[in-house]
Amino acid sequence: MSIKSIAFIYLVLVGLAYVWALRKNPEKAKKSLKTGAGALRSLAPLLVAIFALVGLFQEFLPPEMIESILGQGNQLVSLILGGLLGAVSLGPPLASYPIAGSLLASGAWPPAVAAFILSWISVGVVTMPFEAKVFSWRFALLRNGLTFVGALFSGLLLGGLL
Amino acid sequence: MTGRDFFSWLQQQRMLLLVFFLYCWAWTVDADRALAALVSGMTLLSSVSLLIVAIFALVGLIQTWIGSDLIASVLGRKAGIRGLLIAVGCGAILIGPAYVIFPLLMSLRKLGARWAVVTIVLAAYALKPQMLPIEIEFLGLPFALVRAGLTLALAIPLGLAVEWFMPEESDA
Repeated sequence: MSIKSIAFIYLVLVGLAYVWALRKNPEKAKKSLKTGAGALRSLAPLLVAIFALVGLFQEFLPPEMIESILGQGNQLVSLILGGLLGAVSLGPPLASYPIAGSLLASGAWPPAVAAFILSWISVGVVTMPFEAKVFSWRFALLRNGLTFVGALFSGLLLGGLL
Repeated sequence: MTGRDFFSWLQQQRMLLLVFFLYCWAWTVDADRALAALVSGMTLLSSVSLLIVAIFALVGLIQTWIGSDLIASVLGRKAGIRGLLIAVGCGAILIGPAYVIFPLLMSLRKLGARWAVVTIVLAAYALKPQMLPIEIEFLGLPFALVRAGLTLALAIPLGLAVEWFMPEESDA
């Protein structure tokens, strides 16, 4: 499903919720809009910064570089590198599957590939400042740190189970 | 704007400034790639902008309409394991990039949802059931199924671990 379709679904559902809210209590519905707009306004500069940073990562850390780094011989090093590269990458999981598929096909260690995918989807180094602004640095560091450890652990388990 | 206001504004926008300086560095290394990076980042931002607007509109609705008593009873400590399982289900079926739902989860947190619930939703978010057919295509059925199973199995322990390290006083 494309991001535009997902946005459309969210917009329709939220739009319907606002129609319901307007009928029920117009003043409260307006207050909801103001609250949401205020939250968006306060985080907008950070969002622009984060996406500009994502662009830098995508341009200066292309998929070919990830493949060349993860194709190394040492298993432990490739497991940690897999997790780290997944953590600094940002994009839809769709983008990680072809890279992971080609890595597996070229003989990469499955736990390292699994750690790469798990980390790609759930650890966000680039988006961490945004996560910290919303929740707190303590939460962002804890969640990402423990999720990173979980990704390495899952990678090892997955390699053992396959 | 006074000098103090300007300094305070600069402090608030330190991430934006850091990225600006990184781009200045990238520009000196390779101007074409720096420009390509900026275009790529802003294209991505424009592609998710509608989604971001929808999420913040939802944040406004939740903060105004949903009572903290309800959230605390469904997603707070009082809800027990039921609340954690609801979080796994919600995380598994939500779609879109994870960072988009951070404000949504924080609005629930402010209304009484526990830290474990916030973390579990983000952990189970990695299940991506809508992407499973593509994952199977590239990585094979056993890989995709075991990964999905591990994602779900580790969500609750991860949530409880993060919550354990969060300070008591900031817990609802």
